[in-house]
Amino acid sequence: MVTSEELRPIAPAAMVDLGDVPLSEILALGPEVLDMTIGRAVPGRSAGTAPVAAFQSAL
Amino acid sequence: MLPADQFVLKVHSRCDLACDHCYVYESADQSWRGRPLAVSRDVASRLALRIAEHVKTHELNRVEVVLHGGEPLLAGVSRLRDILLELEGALSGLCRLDVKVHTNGVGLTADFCDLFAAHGVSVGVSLDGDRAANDRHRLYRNGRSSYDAAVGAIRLLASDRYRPLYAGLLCTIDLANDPVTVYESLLALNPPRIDFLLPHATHDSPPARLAAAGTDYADWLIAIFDRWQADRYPVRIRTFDSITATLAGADSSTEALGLAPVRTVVIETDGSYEQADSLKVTYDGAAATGLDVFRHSLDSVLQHPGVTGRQQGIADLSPTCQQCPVVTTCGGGMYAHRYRSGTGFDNPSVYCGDLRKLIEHVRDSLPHVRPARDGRAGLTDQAFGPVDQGFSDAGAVADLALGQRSLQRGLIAAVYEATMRASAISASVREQSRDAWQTLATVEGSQPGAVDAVLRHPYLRTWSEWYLQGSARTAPDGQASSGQVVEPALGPAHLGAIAVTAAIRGQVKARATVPVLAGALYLPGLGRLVPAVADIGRAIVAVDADWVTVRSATGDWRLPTPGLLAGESCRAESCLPDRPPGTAGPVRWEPVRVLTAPGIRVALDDVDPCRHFLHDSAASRLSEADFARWQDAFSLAWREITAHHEAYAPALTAGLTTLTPVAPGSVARGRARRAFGVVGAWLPADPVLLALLLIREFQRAKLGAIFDLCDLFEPVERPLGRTRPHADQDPLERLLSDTYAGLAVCAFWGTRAALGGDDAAPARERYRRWHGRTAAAIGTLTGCAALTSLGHELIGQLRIGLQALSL
Repeated sequence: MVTSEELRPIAPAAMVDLGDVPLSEILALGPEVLDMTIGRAVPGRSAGTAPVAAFQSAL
Repeated sequence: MLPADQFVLKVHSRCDLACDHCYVYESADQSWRGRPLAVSRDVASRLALRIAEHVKTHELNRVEVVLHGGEPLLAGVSRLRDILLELEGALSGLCRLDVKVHTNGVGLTADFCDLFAAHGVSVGVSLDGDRAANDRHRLYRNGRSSYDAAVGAIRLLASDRYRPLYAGLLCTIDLANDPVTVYESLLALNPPRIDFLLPHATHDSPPARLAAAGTDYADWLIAIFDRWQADRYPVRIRTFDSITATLAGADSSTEALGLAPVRTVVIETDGSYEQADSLKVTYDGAAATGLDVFRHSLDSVLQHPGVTGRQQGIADLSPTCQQCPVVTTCGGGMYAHRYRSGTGFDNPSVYCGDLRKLIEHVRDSLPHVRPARDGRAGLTDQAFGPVDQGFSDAGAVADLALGQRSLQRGLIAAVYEATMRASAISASVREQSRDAWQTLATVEGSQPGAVDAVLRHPYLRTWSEWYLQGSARTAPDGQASSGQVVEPALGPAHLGAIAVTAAIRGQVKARATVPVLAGALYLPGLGRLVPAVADIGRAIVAVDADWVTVRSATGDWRLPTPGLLAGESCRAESCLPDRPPGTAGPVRWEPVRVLTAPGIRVALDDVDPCRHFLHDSAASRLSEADFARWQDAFSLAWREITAHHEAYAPALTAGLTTLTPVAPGSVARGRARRAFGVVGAWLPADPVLLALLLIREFQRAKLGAIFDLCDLFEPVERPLGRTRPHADQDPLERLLSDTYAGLAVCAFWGTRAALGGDDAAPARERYRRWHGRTAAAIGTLTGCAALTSLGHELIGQLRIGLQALSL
């Protein structure tokens, strides 16, 4: 029997799992995180979001 | 070497305020004294060319330029316009250019805002809280308060005319200010985003604290986090968003947290390249590189040890940090905050204790936020193996369904967020959406399965994507709309219908405003109420264990909750006082009916308005006689599948949830991915053909769900197979989908031919035709350079599957 530890995840590491996140907690996640989950379904929506590790003294 | 994608251009080296906590003027580095006051056109022009050169070398899709200082507005409207024109001229056609400016706000006028509006520049403002808080540090040189001028600027930005420019507010933390008061005062200015910055400090110059060895700064931020959470996140706060992002496995959006490599270059007014200018708090000259725009490319800067030393992730950190359980979120904190004479930057942050306490508090407050690799939203190779051979067991499809579950929750949250932030949405719709979301969250608290069932409804994804993509719409009655969101019907007001449906399924007491569209009130997955309770656009729906009451301006009606759940047709009873209780009215409930066969139940959804977005010619509501014909055909089709094509049955049982009747020949090909579990089909005379339709279209649905999780090809120029253009689907995705489905069609006809029945001869001919077509498509795909290794693995398995077929 293949145990769960032996299963190799194929989904890219950049994906975020919202399956068990209650709706009350999901809104704590910013738009960049939501875009990582829905980005394949709604491409282009994240255009214009802040770069990663951006300069702190500007928004 | 990682390319830079953010460029901070110091357009002016002086400031019209004298904030005593400013890292530019009040720190160890005093290089500003020798800089030109303002950036010259020559420097701007040369920088624009350097960025263009960098973009071309590294094939960047997007860069960001931050106009900064000192105080950037001191450069004046004319000079800033020249700079923007230089940047746009050099980068036009090469990549997307995003420009932002960060200002103290005191000099912001409508002229500046008009310039920024014309060039799409977003504007952030620094403010430390209310007047008392702001006046602790942010004063004019003569000691005068800058508060009124700054708030005046913020109110200008927040006005309807300039709202799209308003990036948000940055606040430097002072422990002497009450955190919640600061938060409330900033929130009152209606910013889209806020951040709270730890005052720059080092181990040599530690920050002011209330207690010698405390975590005051964590406590300060935690007070705001708790209030923000209690307020249900009314504004984005970058520090908290970055913490949650890293907890979820994503990257931080600020250099102050996380392990993502820094890709920012600073350019001073004289054209000198510098590292992060926060380094000015460490020692004089700390940020200098000795390089400039006239003599050196940006690649030269990126090879500087000070830059490369911040692009290696955890390897860049001190041993203490590397062992820390929160290192992937903290990332060692702000680089400058690690400095100590003698050991340089090889230390934890001077805010180490604060960062750890804050991160652990956020993590413990959001226990379900975790990366996909720890969750089940992904696909394992055990599941992919059977899928890529064309068949699937129930477990593999269940894995795909889990991925869809995560996706749908993200989509509906994104719809809600977009609604709350959109200035074009009316206040009343926003209020109704907030109530609907709260209802959903409340129902989930006691009946999570009910919310799950509603969110699994495949047309919710169709609606969510339609709304979020904001493209030209086709109204559900087939008439094109103008391109604006259709309010209130299939726009965000649909959240009310979703909430009510969840309450009904969970038998939880609730109420919400539900839109009335084209004369009917829709409850996704359950059915619709027709004709119009009133053609007024909305109704108030209240739910309890016994009744669902629909209240409108022209009448109140009620339906039995158990009857709705059982899928019964019924007439709504009037609740008008002049009618006896139980009097049936002209309004009736049309449920979503269910097709059944041994081992399978599939909803036949001929009412959901979103089905028109997915299918070119979705059929209207079927009569009972037509439904009965569908039931008969479905039973026979399922018998055909289980008797002769049993390899496909487990996947269909596990994943096919909805069948939508469509006009003959009109099948949702490219759009099938937008509603996992749905098959659009017409009723053929021969139920064997219905069996084929179900198998073929569900193959597309499975592959679509895989596309949602995995990269099977790179998004570059690629050769096309023999497919018809379809505006809604990438050509290579379409070819892969056609080929995957084609293998199943080939296998189907091979099986029919082998049965030796009356249709054996035409089945054999169809087999040969599909075999040739599928083999040709596999050949095209095999030579496609755009496929990833996983894509090639899939094609390899399809080739094996095709070779295994024979007559």
